[in-house]
Amino acid sequence: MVSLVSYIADTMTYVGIFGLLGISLNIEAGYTRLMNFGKVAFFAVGAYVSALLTVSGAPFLAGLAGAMLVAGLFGFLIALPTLKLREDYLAITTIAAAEIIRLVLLNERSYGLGPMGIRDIPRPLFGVFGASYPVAYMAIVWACLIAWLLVSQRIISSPFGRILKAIREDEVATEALGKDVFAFKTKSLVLGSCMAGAAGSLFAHYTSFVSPDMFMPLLTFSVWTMMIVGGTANNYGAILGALLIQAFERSTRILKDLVDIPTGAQVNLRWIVIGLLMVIFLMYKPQGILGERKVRVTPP
Amino acid sequence: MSLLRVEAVSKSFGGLKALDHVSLETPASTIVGLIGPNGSGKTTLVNVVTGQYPADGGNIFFNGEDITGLQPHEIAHKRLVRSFQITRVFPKMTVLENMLVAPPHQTGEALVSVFARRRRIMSQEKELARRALDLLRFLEIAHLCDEYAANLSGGQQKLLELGRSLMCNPLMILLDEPVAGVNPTLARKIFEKIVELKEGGMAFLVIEHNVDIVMSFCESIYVLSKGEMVAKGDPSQIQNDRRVIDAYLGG
Repeated sequence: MVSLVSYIADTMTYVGIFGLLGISLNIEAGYTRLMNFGKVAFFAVGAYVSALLTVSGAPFLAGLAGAMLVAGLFGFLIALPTLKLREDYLAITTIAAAEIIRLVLLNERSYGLGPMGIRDIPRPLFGVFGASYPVAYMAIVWACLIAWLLVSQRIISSPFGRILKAIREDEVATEALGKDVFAFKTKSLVLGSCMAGAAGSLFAHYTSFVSPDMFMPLLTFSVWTMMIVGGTANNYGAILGALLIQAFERSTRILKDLVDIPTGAQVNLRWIVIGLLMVIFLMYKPQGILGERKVRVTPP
Repeated sequence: MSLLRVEAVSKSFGGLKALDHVSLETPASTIVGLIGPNGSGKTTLVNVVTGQYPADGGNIFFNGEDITGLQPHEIAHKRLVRSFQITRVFPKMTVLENMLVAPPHQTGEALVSVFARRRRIMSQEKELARRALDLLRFLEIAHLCDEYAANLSGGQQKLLELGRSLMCNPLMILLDEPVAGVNPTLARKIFEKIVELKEGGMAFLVIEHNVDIVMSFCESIYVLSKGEMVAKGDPSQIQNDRRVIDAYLGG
């Protein structure tokens, strides 16, 4: 019974972390059409910053704040040279940036980095909750998710969010109407990066261990699939997508014990199905399950 | 006193001289026509004036200020806005949302204000929505305010683009073929709206191919040909100008 509760709590913790990533991608790609294919880098930066800070004695909240700050700063640095590029070039440069980050984490030997990763990352309030810790941590993650969801919703429904959507629809026209498109795109990317940094921090303190091979490019595409399946430009859709993809990944993990699939094919088959899902949705239901909601302004 | 003054502006693309020392002046509260054969540089001139392309040479003054080399968004803030030859509405946003993107200096454009000054944003939104609806009524598309812009007809999109420009509080609008592909009845109606706005004090520079419309609505007309300004004058002068006929018929 306890193990079932823990299993569900574990699942929901991952749903929360990926939900955060989904919303952060949604702000960038769903609302601003910034094709960020390097999401995993910002997640990794958040995880590592939080891990390094707390391992050297800082409290969890300082780690979380540091993760958001540094990931946001990293987003700003990526924005400067890339956001004046056309969207397809942005996609390529963000993939490259993500790989550079991973390779730095892999090959840099100072500060405790390297292929062995960082272990014994403190788990916040672990002593307080003991056996019911998975449930408690799930609550922490979901509190963060809901906080970020509220922040995102407020931003999206504001004049600021409206300009992000306008940039998504037509950059040239938005600029011609007097909006500094580059500045808005930069803010969008920084915002999304902060949020991915928070997700990274929550991930690191949950697993209590991070290593470079946890941050492969596939993770980025997993988040993209969640957003596309759940509903582009709908933050609830991003969370739904995270739930569906997590449920799928976990059910196939159980399924493989019941059905006879050759060992090597198991993991690959899962990715094949996820890839298929992405393609099918893009072709037949590009708005995703929930899709974007129409903004109705009540006539004054 | 002219509102917009373009002085000897040049622009080349590789070896092609798209604009060769082009000059033009438009006073406030007038409709000025800009005509010329395809490829004569009309849209390029609009792109240079509004900062989409940097000029290779020459100066552009608007409302007493030198605006040469400013970014498009900075020029819009000087209250000089443009429309596009191929309509550029925001398709997956409603008509009202399209209108509300445009107003300059909205409090809610700053991220901090989104959280710190909620009340002010709400009252501003209400006021802007009221103004947007008034304009949409004037343009006779108010009934479509909750419709996605993508679902509007070509002519309605042209009207929406005009309305969106008006939300920028412009002193002058550069209209790049405002009635291209619009049926003749609606085309006349759009121009009647433009005349009404002109009478309210606004200036227009209009690129238009329809000779009837240009002759009946524009007070003065400039003619571009192969990147050079070959003629200017009132409609009757232009109609009888040998160089204009040559430009169009390839003399």
